[in-house]
Amino acid sequence: MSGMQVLIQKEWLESMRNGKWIWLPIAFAILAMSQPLTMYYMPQLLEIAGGLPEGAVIDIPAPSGEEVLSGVLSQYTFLGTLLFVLAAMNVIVHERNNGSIIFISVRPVSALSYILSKWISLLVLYLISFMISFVIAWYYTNILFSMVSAAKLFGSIGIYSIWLCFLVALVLSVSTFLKSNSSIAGVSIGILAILALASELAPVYMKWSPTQLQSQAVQALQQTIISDLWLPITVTVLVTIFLLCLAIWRMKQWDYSGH
Amino acid sequence: MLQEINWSLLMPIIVLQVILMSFALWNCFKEEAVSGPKWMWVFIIIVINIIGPILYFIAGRKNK
Repeated sequence: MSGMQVLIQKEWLESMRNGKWIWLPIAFAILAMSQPLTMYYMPQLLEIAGGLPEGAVIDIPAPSGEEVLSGVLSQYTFLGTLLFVLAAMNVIVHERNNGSIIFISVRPVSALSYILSKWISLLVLYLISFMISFVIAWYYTNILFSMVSAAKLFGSIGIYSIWLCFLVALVLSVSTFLKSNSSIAGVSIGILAILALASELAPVYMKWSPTQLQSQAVQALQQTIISDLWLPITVTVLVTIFLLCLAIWRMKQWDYSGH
Repeated sequence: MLQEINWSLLMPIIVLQVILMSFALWNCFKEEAVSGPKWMWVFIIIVINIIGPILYFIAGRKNK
């Protein structure tokens, strides 16, 4: 584990250089701000879009702050997940394809510390982007709609963070098996889509599913008691550990001599 | 119509978009080689709002 700190520093330097530390937080902040703003200006937007008969009165009841923040979370479910997967797809493959993995493999660095350093550095970036953007959305919601208590906000952030741990582990694990960016993104999104679809179609059988955490993060905003919270959390933590072990095991099988 | 909009609410989002775009442009010019012609990426970054710069960072940068 001694090489861990050096590896994490290397990862950070790398993501500073390729701009990930700038564009990802900014993209999330824009995503988070645009939801409360579009909901606030919805009547004006409808008016500009036109197509309403003369004299029609648009009367949309103002949504509560909780509803607006739930809307932000559902934006994250789709666009956010896409950004997270796309930003993580090349972290391992890039080093395998350009050969710098060979330099790492001749040093006394274990597969464990290599995979863990990738996981931790991506996760820190993602958690920071997510939290900052969600707090910005909360700030806007409090100004434009109604006040949402900070306790609900942080409960929701906590549940969503566990989901992010799983998401990063999944993409890393997939990327130890495949060698092209697009196939890694495709397979990861495919797995997530199947899980989400299954939760949608058969919610009774999918209570354990990690995707359940996304809807529970929404529930955490709206009520204080969340149904069946601990089952998906336990399963997600176990699956995350399993995925990381799988990635470490798979990395030990790599053949460094050729491609 | 336009007077009804409170610009101080929209300002942060516009500023962030400009930062994102200028950072992508700066990065694109600095890079000696990008995947595909450089003028195409400059065009994409400027014309497609928000998505253009993100596309550049995901697909435009060559893995060195």
